[in-house]
Amino acid sequence: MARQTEIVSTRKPRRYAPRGLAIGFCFVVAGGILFLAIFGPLLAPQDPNAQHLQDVLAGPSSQHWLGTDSLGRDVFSRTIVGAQLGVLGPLVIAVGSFAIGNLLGLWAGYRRGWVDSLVMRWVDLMWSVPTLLVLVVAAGAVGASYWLAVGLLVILSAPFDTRIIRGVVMEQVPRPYVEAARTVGVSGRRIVFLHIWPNVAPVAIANSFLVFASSLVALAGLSFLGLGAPPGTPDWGLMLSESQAMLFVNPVATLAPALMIVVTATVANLIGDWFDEYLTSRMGAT
Amino acid sequence: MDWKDWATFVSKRLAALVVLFVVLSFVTFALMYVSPGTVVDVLLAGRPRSAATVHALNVEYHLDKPFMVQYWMWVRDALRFNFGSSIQTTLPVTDEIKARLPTSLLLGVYAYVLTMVSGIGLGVLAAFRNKRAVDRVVVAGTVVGLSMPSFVAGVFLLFVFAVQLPWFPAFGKGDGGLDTLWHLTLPAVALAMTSAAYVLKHTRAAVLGVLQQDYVVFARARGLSNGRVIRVYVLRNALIPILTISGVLFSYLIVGGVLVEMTFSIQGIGQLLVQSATAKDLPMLQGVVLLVSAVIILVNLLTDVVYLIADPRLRLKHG
Amino acid sequence: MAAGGLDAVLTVRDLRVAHIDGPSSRTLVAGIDLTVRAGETVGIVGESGSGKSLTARALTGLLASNLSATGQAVFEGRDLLSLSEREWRTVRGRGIGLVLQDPFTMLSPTMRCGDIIAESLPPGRRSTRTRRAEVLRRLVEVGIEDESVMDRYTFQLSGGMRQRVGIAAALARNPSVLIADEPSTALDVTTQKEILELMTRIQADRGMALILITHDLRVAFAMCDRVHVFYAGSVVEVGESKELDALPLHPYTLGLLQSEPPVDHRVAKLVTIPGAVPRPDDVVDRCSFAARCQWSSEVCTSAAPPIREISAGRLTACARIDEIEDELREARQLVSVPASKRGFERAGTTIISAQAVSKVFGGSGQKVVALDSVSIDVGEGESVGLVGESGSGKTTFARLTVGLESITGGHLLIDGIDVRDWRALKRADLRRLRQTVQMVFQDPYSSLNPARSVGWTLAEAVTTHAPDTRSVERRVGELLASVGLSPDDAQRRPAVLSGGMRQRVAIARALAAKPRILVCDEAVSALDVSVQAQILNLLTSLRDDQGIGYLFVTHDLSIVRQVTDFIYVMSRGRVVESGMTDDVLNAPQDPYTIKLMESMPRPDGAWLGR
Repeated sequence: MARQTEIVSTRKPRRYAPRGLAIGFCFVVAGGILFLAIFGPLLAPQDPNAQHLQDVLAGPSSQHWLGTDSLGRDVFSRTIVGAQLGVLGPLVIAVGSFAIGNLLGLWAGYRRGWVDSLVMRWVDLMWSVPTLLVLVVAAGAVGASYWLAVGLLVILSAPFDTRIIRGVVMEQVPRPYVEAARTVGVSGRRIVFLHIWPNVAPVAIANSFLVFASSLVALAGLSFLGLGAPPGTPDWGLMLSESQAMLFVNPVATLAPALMIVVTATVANLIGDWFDEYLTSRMGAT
Repeated sequence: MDWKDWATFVSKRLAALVVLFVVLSFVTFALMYVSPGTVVDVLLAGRPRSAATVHALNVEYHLDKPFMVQYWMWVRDALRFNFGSSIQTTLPVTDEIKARLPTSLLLGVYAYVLTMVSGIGLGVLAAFRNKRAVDRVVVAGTVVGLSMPSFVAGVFLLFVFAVQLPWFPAFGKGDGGLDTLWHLTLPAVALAMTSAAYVLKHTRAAVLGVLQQDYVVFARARGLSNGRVIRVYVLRNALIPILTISGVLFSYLIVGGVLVEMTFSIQGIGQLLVQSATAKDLPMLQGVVLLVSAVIILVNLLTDVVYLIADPRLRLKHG
Repeated sequence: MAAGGLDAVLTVRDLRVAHIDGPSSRTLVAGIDLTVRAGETVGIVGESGSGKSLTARALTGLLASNLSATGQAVFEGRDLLSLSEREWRTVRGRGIGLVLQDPFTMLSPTMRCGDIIAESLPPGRRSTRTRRAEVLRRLVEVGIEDESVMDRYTFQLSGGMRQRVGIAAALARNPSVLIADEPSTALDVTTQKEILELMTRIQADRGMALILITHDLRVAFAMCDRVHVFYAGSVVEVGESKELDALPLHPYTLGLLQSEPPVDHRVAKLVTIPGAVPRPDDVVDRCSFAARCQWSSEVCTSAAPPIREISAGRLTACARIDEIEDELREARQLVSVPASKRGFERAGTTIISAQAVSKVFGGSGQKVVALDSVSIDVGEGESVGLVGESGSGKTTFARLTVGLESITGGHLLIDGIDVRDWRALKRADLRRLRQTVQMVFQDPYSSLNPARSVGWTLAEAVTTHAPDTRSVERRVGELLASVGLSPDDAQRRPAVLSGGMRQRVAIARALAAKPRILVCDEAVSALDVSVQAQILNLLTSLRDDQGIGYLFVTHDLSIVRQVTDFIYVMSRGRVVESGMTDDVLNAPQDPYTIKLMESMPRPDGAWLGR
């Protein structure tokens, strides 16, 4: 039936993405953190693992900008070098789970049937599992390891991606443009990758940033519990737990890694939201 | 949906639950074997090895029996809440859990209340003040809240409210009653922060979505009072999608709880979990894992039932 | 405008609605005058973007927060546009009621129908029993006698029933003015007539004033005493229904009347309005219709012409009406001349041949019979209509012919190939079938991939069928030209195209395979009337030029009348009547066809028993 499509409201709710200056700032910060992750060891003014035992638990000074920890290591240098583990693991997880999630999501959402039910059973099972709990138990049973945690997080994050992408794909499949491609005689593979995927991509890409942020937090948490990065490694989560006791003595040493975790995760979340809105509006999709 | 449909629904779910429990218990039991070294090594955990201790372990854990029989005996004990005794303390696992459970539960409930009150309250407020100053501040706070893990939040709170302004104690669970609540306030706030941000984000989106619906416009067009429109139309319809996220919310709280208990040195289940993982205290680990998974599964079942009650569309789909 | 008279209940002067986005504002409604007298039915007619729904929202204080309304709207001695939200609540429902277009979204899914009506009743304490009795009385007023409806949720009711419940709720506080915004557009034609009859009856019984907003001139003429024609945010013409129908005094009204295919006879060629509706903001300083008007001159583009009274109750915004009135009169009379009867015989080769085809959805559980032993033929170069309401199975049949579904019984032969299961076909057969039958979908807004340019979409269609095409670009250009678009349009994305242009692209995509039959599934029903006529003419000319045959799937008998030779009428999965289009429509035999014919809107009060 003819439905009049009149503009009654032009408001578009849902996400709240930063604009203009704010997003520019986000990109600058993200670029800075990425730069530290790549060139951190070259930039650090001091050896992050060198122990200055005569200078333990010092406050900020010209030599140690953020003071030293309980072993006399330079907190500033450790914070900079910490960017490496802070970014690397989450990056691997985001990319890995993006790949798995997109393939499974497209497959399950387009083919439906037994593939779909199988994938969804797995997703449902993983969905309500508290991620960190699995990591802790695994560490308890097998021993603590950063890369084991990264591997587990890929498996635990992929259902998250899969579920979201499957949902978006299922919204797209009954749309007339997909049916039109089918009646024109376009092959199934072309329809999935060249027709449907570009319309799913904004959500998928935005979601990867969220996965990045949440795995950053999870890995930091695991290290905080002493079950992630090995003792002594410059890792933000580990630094936080090692220096928590010094909160009364040298709070800066505690707050620096904490701030890095929050800033990195926040920036990733904001860029993700922005990407979604930008890509969607560029397409002019409904 | 009459009682018959309810019965089928619940029994189907219960059947699935039993299957899930069997799988879970098996995985949990198998942890012992996944661990590097023989089971006896694991159970000895560095204690001096002698013929007597090894024999005692063999008897206690039925290690001389085949794998499946061991599993069966373990499950039979577990069903009677007997998980053996801790390697660290040699006390029964159940006793240790029992001693710590109330604190963790209290912390969880405290944080849950904070989450719901502030998450839904601020979410609705932000949606109604869409794009105004209040909304922008709340939304900005949400992004930071979502990006701030509970242990980081805990450290910040400690720094401000225990170090700079010594209003709250820095650790411990207090001596019961109000003192406990007072001790648990900072941990609960730290724990609620992420989940509240999550609830807030979804509430805001759901309320904004509902506000755009024709049925809200039509309700206002009939001259219904604002209060009624908000209660009966906006909240009723917006909170249904909020229910669907409670499963995720719950796992947020559990994960956060572990970290918060460590941050604030609270003797709860989370701390017990981490301690036993660090010390490779497998019997203890198994007990805690089974307990936590049981709670998660039951909460999810409860959520499904509530969801079904709240949304007549699901309930009456086949009616 | 006539001062409105003493009996005016609602007087609107220079109503403007603007979209406010920070410092900038964009005009959506540009100065509307409207007078409603007690007990009168006033029509607001316009295409999408004309501002008619916004006017309804403004008059009930329900504009979105980023829209602002200025001007004056006097109701019961108060200016509505200056009311506070608290004051509005005393007007809404009690003074002015509003019924929305879509009964499927208008009622909350979590409430029972009885509660929806009960909460809308005038405030005051009532016992449970009196409240129930009152709700029941209200339901009876809208033609629902079944008491159990009170305890049902809205999603358990049909569209027509929901709209009745909606009307009862809107009337619960006994408003003196009811605004109905496209109250029947989302419904089937037979239900539409029932709802319109119901509203006519209630309006007369209550002596209430009714503002009917619709895109359908025939409906407006049948129901309303006076009609306002809206175009791009302003009123272009006002007059009594009969007078407006007989002699439009604005070129746009004339164009609308000419574009509307008549149901009782075929016209030689539909007259169309070129171009598309502009955005109100772009035409605030000129006659909004100037760009599409054949009589446009300098006067029309130098300033926005004010609406002025020509004779008692007759107003137009055409600045040149004195000069062109005779031409309008002549053109209006021309439309009514029927075309000569087209000679036609079903002699050509049959391309689609369906013998006792059935289609059942659902596996072992609940089964839904969509098609029940349906036999339909479509021959080379024929134009065949498939008519029915939603649920008749007409769309399912269309989908069977292009491989979106497979039959579950009977025989379906397409170009001699037995199509039992589309997935089991040989590659070569499938290829031949694609080049035999192609489809144009209903919704031009979603039948093109939003992520891809027009050129990409067409190039894909071209290379899918002829992978060795040497100059794909040239072929795309040819396709665009064949549907009246420019080759430059290839670079554009669907989002920037109007509905009509998108549908042209969709047709071009289907033509890429050089099909012999084009299946058009409600291909024009989502378009505005003026654009609809353009597309129908395009399809007719494609048939004349390239000999393409059509299977027109539609609910609209007047379209069928204009473009088909032979029709099948479907109801509940069965063909109830078939024959030459003119024969069937002139003398329908089956009771369902007769009812369908009677339900087609006619621009005459008698149609609704007024």
